[in-house]
Amino acid sequence: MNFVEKLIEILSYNPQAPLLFNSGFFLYFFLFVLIFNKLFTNYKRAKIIFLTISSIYFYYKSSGIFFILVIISSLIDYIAGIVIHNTNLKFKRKLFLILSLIANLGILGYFKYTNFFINNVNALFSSNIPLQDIFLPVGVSFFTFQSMSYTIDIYRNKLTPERNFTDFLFFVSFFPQLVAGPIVRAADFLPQIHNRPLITKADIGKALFLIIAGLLKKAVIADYISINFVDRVFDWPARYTGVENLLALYGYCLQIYCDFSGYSDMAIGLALLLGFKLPMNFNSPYKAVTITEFWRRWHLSLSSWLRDYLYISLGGNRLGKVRTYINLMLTMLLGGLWHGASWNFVVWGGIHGTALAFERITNLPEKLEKSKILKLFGAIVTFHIWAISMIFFRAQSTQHGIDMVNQIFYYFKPEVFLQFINGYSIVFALMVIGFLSHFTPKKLEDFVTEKISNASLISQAIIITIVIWIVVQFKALDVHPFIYFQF
Amino acid sequence: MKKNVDDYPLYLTATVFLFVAILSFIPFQFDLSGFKIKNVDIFSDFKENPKPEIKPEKPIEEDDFFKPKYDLNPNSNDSIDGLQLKEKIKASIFNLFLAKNLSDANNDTIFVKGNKVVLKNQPIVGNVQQLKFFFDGLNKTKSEVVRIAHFGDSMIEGDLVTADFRELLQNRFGGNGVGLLPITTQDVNFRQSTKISFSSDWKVGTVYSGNPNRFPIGFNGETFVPKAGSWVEYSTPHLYKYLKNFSTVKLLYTNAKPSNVNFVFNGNEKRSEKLIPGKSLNILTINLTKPANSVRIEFPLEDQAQVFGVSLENGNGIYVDNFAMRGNSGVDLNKFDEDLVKEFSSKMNYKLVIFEFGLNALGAARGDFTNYEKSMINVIENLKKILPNTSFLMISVQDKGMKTDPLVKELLDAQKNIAKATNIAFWNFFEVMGGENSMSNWVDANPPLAAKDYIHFNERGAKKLASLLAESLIQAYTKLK
Repeated sequence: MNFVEKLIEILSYNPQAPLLFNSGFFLYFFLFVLIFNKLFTNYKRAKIIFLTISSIYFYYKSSGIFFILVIISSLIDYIAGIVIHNTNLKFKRKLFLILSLIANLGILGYFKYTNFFINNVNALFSSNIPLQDIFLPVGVSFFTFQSMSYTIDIYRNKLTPERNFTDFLFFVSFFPQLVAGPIVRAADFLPQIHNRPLITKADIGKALFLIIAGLLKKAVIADYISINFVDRVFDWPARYTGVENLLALYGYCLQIYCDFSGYSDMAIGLALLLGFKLPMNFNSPYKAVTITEFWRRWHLSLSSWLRDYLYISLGGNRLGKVRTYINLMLTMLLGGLWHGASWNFVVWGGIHGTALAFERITNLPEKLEKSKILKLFGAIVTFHIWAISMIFFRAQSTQHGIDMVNQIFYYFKPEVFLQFINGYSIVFALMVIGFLSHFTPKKLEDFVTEKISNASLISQAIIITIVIWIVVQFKALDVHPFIYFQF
Repeated sequence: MKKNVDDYPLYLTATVFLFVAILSFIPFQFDLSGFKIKNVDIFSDFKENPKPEIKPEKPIEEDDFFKPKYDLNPNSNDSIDGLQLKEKIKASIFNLFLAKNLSDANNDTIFVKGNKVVLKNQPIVGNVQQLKFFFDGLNKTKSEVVRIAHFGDSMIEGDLVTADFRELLQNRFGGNGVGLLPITTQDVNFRQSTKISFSSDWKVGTVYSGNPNRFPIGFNGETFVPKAGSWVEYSTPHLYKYLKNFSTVKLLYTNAKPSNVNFVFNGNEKRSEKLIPGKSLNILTINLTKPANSVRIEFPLEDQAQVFGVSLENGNGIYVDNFAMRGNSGVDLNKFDEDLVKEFSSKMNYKLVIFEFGLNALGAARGDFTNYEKSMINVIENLKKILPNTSFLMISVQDKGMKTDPLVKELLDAQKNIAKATNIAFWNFFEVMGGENSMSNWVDANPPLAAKDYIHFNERGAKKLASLLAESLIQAYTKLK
């Protein structure tokens, strides 16, 4: 194979190796983007076009031909936005809003929910419609929501449409947030396109802190404990003791947080290095004392999206008490379904809806404020409600979930715990480090950020290089062999 | 006003890039108390993939012993590469809105990340003539009970593989029932084909996890001895077509006190049956007038008998007994009482023995399989001597790991050597799965076929294995019977 062929192979989409921030290729990509970003400093239009093309290319490297979806979705919403804004005809405004919603929800529905729908139809009518092998392009759930919020805001007269299609496409496709959020609002992002980015030394420190923390969370903790422990237990809970199941559940709570928040952190950090500020997406969620507070700390850009575009669209709390609770529940049920096409996610949403409603009725959050012990107790209970809901979130089937609970309650075998620490020492160490670092005080975080900000360019580069080196070491580690503990 | 440093990220990223590039040139690999420190190589993408070392073809590959002895099915001619390429192009262009039917996924097809991967089933090779005892048995399933002993490790725990394999064979050759079941077992939580519950006070001796009381051990490798009042209960599931009920219960035991055991069928039909003393294998057979869905057996006396298990059956046909031995590599299949094994065979009519072992040999062997070969050859030779009219089939190890564990291939060669040395039939499941690096396809398949430990198959994967095995075996039967 000659060099050109090799280069083409590297630059084309490879379904086995979709581009992630922690891929080796990303370092090349980001350097390339920064070089041209600098060259185009004084040519704003060229810069936006370049960044848009780079973003679309980034998506191509993640999902191949499906980058067309991003463009189609953007184009529809771009046109719908302008039409809705330019007309006073109520009917026409509504029509184009509905068109935009159908387009976005249609894309989302087809790629994510077709088989779910077929399964349910088959179960209801005992029919035998074959399931389809549909590839779920990455980020569909994110970019469709992002561009839907744009048309809804225009419909609500809260936003004027973007006139330039490239700018709009750039907003939807901006690569740091394209595949896994944060879900950015047009009102927050579009104005940033038009100004020359202001990046301060403090921003750099913050960005580096987020990127480093994100890399370690995602590529070290989450990736390692999932492949080496958590996945296999969830694959087959009945094969493992209760201790292992419980640790796998705690491990999964850590994994999903590290994975998701780590990726978001990297996205925010990378965007910041390009001069764009994205909203914060996670705020140490496991410190939450109630489920209500939890949802103000977990995946903020989604929970605020659901609040503004689903809960409020349903009537929010303006239609009386009963409707408020119904709306709350509906929002959480649909929010659950957003996470994945299965009734398990609806149950998951239901658990959270119930908890939120309960806390609202009893006014629990205020009551807990009064004492430190109550708050600690609240945090432990909240974490465990979350953990229980995560059984449904992660289990492959309801039966798997039931197996897991059964094993935890009826086949605990506490003596296996010490063997576990021994057999899975790295997994255990990472879990301890992961949870401990979650509870470090904000002050320490700020202190570290400041230290990084004030460090010299060389020192910063050395730190990042070391982190990359660590990530590579963990990536290259062999999968930890399967262990049957004796009991 | 704060200073704008919007060029800074470029310089910083370039410096990081430079550092990582420098690091890529420094060979920095060493072994730190077990952790292999790897070199960071940012240029690895650009380098030619190191060509797999072409080992001098081992003579064993050329060996006639492993050549197909009969014509292959003519319709498996599709070249895998050709198909994959075509499917790839299709996937990338048309799949945008036109998805493929998952129901296309028949026996030989799996879908991996939007690609269709065609599995190539392999014929049974090796000494297929030795399968004649089994094939003769298959010809007689209308008039007698014919059994297969399916030995394996954690791969077949919970009646995995066996359950689906049994169903396919019973569908073709008759027979209806799960066959011989253990009294106590660790896999009750994921055993789908029979619900087993038991009192926790049974004393157990096995060939694979110790036999402190030195109980005589039968062919199934496990012996259970009751305390006063120990019980076991079986009930049938609805998932499997041929396991819905049973009309014959066989209790296999030895060294009984002259006494009675109590049976309760369907929760209320009680019966008391006499045990016969004696050192030989005794089988207490109860034929029911009406098929039952559950049976509970209670042993009123301590050490009332040494019990091997209970077989649930429904008339003549083929029965496949699942003998799962967690953590075992097969080398302990000589720790049973040989006279008992002979009796097992003559009284229960075992016509085929399947060995499905391997992965537990990997850890112990540490790359040298000579001892494993020796032990396994002894085990099989010994069994062949005890069971001269029984056929033997060895199923190869499956692929393991995200990328094939190199030891797996050495083990595969060792298993070939074992099959050849003992002159028995061999089915290369490693090849059937897709050969090298195929486990990751099974894990990534839609729906997944194997667990994320890259070792164990899940129910779907086990089912696929079973149907491929049944396909090959029935194919051999139709060609050679």
